[in-house]
Amino acid sequence: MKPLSKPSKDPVKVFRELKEIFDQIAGEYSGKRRKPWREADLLLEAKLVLDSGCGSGRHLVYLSKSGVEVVGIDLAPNMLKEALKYAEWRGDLKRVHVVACDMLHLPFRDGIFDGVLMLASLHHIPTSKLRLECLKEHFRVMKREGTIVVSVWTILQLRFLMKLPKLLLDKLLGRVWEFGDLYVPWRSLKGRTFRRFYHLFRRAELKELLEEAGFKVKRIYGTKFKDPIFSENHVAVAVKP
Amino acid sequence: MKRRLMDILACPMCKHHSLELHIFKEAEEIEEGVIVCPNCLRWYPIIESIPHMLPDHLRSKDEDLSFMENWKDRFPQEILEKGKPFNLREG
Repeated sequence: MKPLSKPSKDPVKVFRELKEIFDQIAGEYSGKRRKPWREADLLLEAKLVLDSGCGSGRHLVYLSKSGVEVVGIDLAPNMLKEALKYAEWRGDLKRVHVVACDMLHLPFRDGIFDGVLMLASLHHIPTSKLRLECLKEHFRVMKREGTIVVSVWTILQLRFLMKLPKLLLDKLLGRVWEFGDLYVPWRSLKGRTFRRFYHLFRRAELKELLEEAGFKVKRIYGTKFKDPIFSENHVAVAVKP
Repeated sequence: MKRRLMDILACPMCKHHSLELHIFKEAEEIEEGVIVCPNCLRWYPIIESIPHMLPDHLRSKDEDLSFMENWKDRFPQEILEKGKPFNLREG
């Protein structure tokens, strides 16, 4: 399937936009994201965990409370401020670190993390080439036998079902890079709408991407919250062999 | 930022470890300071306890230079003049 034209947008622009958007919505976002995912339990045995795209820090606090040393990274410094505030309020800052950085250029030494949590962040990266680069960069900073837990939004879920023809058209017309790319609005309390880039995944696509980066996929499953039929997230648990 | 974070930090651009830490303001944690890569001379600000370690293309020149200007008495001279990606001599 050859697009009629290529997206004129530079992928770097997507990162700049996401940074700005998440910086602006950090305050109101944080209050809505408190309950940790069960997936974090998969890393309770780890000594040092990287929470990649940690947002306002719900898993930083959860892991640190469980005795795990954890480094949270996010592109938006305001999200990290929220995360520090939350950790302090919960009275647990001593095992929590944060760094404002990019998932494709990690500021860490090789082979130091024995766990990586990457929940709902990989799907914000445009193009499969950059998503692969991101996973390879995480592979680099992980220890052998270390576990990575990745979640992404699925393409087959009720709220996007009606949009599938549009997604296909966007791809055919070259408005986006790939089938599954879309902008999802966040309506702020002040009435502004921010459009955040997402790439919706097929399950096989996530598995292949992890394998191409060098990981061994242990299991891959779906989780859902509101959708009565379909999974909203693919979750993959993989190890660095 | 805690001092022991330096044990794992590397330059996001050239991947060099270890990096130099210059502290400007410290209470329980390091609140303001700069992290310098001695290999490629890139510098990364620590602002309100958060180290900002972004690749060149995601940095804001205006914000970075105003941070540098603010703390110029405390920055290493070499970085003020030759630091990457921005410095006071070349902008």
